Amino acid sequence: MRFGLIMNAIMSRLILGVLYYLTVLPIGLILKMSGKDAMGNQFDKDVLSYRVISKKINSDQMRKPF
Amino acid sequence: MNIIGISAYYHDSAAALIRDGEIVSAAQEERFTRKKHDPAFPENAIRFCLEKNALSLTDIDHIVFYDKPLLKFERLLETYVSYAPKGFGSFLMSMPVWLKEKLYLKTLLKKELARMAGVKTKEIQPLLFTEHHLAHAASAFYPSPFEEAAVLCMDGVGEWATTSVWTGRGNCLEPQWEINFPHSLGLLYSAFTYYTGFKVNSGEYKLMGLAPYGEPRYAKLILDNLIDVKPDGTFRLDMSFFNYATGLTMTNKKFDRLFGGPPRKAESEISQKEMDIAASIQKVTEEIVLKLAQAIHDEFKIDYLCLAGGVALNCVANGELLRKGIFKDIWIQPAAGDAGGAVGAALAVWHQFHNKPRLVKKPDAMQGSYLGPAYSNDTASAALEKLGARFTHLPDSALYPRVADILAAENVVGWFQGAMEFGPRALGNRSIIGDPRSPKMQSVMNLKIKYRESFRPFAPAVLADRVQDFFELASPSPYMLIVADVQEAIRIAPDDGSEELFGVEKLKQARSTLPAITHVDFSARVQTVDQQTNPRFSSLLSAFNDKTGCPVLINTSFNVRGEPIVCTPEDAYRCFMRTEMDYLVINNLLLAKIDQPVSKEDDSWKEEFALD
Repeated sequence: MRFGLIMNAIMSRLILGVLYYLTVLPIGLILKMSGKDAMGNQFDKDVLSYRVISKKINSDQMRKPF
Repeated sequence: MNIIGISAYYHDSAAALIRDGEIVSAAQEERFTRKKHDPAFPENAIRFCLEKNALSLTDIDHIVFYDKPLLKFERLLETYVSYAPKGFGSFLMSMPVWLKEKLYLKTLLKKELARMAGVKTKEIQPLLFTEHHLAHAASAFYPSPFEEAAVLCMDGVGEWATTSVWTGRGNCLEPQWEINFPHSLGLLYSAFTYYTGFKVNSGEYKLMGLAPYGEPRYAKLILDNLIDVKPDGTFRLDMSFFNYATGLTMTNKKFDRLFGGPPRKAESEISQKEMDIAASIQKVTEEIVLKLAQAIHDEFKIDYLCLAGGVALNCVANGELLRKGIFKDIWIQPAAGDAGGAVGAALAVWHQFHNKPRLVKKPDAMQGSYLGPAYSNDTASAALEKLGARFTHLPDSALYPRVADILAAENVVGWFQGAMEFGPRALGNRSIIGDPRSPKMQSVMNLKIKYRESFRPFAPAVLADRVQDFFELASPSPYMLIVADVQEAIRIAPDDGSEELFGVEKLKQARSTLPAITHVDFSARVQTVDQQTNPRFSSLLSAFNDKTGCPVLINTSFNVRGEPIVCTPEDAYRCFMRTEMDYLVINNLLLAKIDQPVSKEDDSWKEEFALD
């Protein structure tokens, strides 16, 4: 039981580590190099507002968890 | 048509039942499980909503969840991608929970519901999902007393939105614009809650309560470094100071350097620095809220504003907003935090998914927020007898004058009546009450009853038609969400030399003829009570007024520090016996502490509730 738990912890860390370093990190680096600022990390002195216009609601979308 | 709204799995799980558009029942799960801010599937709260209305789960037409789990997951992934290689530790922590549970939230919810109903999963009707800020906006607009209003929601974060602006007319609620994660006023406030050594998601109140002891000497530092605010109140945060997007804490070393030291350790002494920081972030928050409100008014030319989201529980900012008079009136959802999303999600299904018309109700459709479980005198006396309690039954005509006498003799009373409140405030049905004129009440109630920090002020409940005799407040505040100053006439000028007192020392000086409810800056978090919404509490205030000439009582929630507010008569009796409360009133039953059998319980119960 204990062995299983330890193995599980190691395996899930290993799989998540591979996932992170083979997908999350490279995509992040590519985006960074292409100058994308999806999170709005930079202050922008030139704009009057940081607002984002909201999407219209389609109430049928309530059927979906996304 | 019956609709159940569910809020769950983050903090403060809750369920609400809407019948043909009317809010009939709502409760937070923590009250039943006795775990503060319980994030578990709200099985008990759902069960209460069903049993109270003699329904079973299969009678429910729609069950709706208060956010979109997959959009939240998408935001999480995008955040990790954006900040890589930072955030690996947090990725390791959060992914297993998502991959095992939250990603399949629809299935998980259905399984839980099927188990509750004792049916197969496929027999549970399809679930619905609203966006988190739609749930907040709906909870703010639909129950409000306005036919037309602008809506401002501000919280930590839902899917992406952290601030959102809406316009509502009739049954139509339209999203206008928003500010997205990681730029969040709620998370900024929580970052300072963390830095000053309080618990995120519950200590924000303490930070707000601490603010009047300090000077806003860090406000400029915050505005110059942490946040860029535009003239319309929209903002961005400089994320290089914060750790919450990718880490396991709220702030980082760079933040510590800016403010000259590491975060305060929990429960260590609070210094002038924490007080000044509290005053500073409070000032910045108010500035942003006022700018947003002004921009919304200028843009949409609408006279009324509704508020929801955790930031709307900042009653000091709400008071400022009301006094500025940008809007003719404002209305704040009493369960402005995540629990209220259960009500909002259900209302959104009724008015948007089914396009049902909306009937505006006065004073509002929340019914004083008295939407939880109620217990009859018979049920309560049976429960008390089982516990070996000794009590007397008094008819209403004798009860109110008797309790007024007890209060006037400086006794502390547990006041348990009718249906439990929905939302974070006790509004006279699950309250501990006392005489606000008594100079010793604040410290007695803080240290002997609630076992909490002595700097925290208490709130007054006042008869609605007498509010202006004591407070500079022209409109009702039934949900204790507005802070106003006490009237000049009842203030006491500080003694010579006391102006020089610092920090908590300031407390030693009475600020008004109602010292227990007057904060050091002469402010008070007012609850107005009227006969229509809460006849029993109103009758008690009248009886106390008849005896003393004072229609005001201290009203604090019926719990000890870290404990959820009491729900049942058993909870109330337990809390009564554990503390130095003098009397307990459950509906018409009066219990005196001196009549009770000696409690066999030692002090170990204090371990039961983690400090908040």
